[in-house]
Amino acid sequence: MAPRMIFARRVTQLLVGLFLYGVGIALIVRAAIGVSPWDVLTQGIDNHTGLGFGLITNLIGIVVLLLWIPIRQKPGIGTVLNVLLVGPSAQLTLWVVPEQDELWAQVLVFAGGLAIVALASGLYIGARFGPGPRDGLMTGLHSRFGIRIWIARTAVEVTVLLIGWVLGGNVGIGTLLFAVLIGPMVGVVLPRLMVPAAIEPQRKEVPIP
Amino acid sequence: MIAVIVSTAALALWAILATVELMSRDGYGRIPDRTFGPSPLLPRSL
Repeated sequence: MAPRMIFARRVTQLLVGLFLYGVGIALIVRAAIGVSPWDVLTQGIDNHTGLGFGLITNLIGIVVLLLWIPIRQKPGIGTVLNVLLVGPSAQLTLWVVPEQDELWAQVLVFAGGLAIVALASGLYIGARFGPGPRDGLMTGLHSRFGIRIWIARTAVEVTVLLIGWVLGGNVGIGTLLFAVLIGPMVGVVLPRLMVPAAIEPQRKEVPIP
Repeated sequence: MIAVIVSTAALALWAILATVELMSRDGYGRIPDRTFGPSPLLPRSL
């Protein structure tokens, strides 16, 4: 694929991925069986401020991005656009989609939201324009202080979950399912959505002496 | 209703993509090289 086509595919994947990410988390909110740890925090702050889920998603993204300074992480354009775009698309979806009140619909909409978040993550991660602010915080803690990624991730997510729960965010079976399933669901589609970094020349075969 | 339709479509799309991806792997679950070069998972010294 020509470099210009690769770049066009990366930009398209980034924008579509970030838009869909907001759609996915909004569907999970509307399923009302529990949201992801970061969205528990968002809901908790929304309960007390009334600023709206989308705007608070943006504001938390900005605060998390500021935390990148002491851990010396450099944001990519994908990181900045993540902060700007996910909140509005989530808010737009929340305006269109009502809260589900029948159990079958709640389960289906939660599963659909999870699938959209997985596809969206594969699209924007595969675009190679940088991680989102929340993921970058965890990988940054790993690279700056040597903290294992799973420990950094667990510590950060349990902290935001507890704060959000105290503030009244929706913790439920969906929170647990999101935490357990989102990694494998992204992992299985990510290779298919990864944009090639560049056309590398084939390495020469070196004869084994 | 729109949420149910969108959710069903998203689940189907994810399932198709996951199935295609898993079927493209070998018997050991290894990801085939689609990056126009050596797999980034392989050590550079190989």
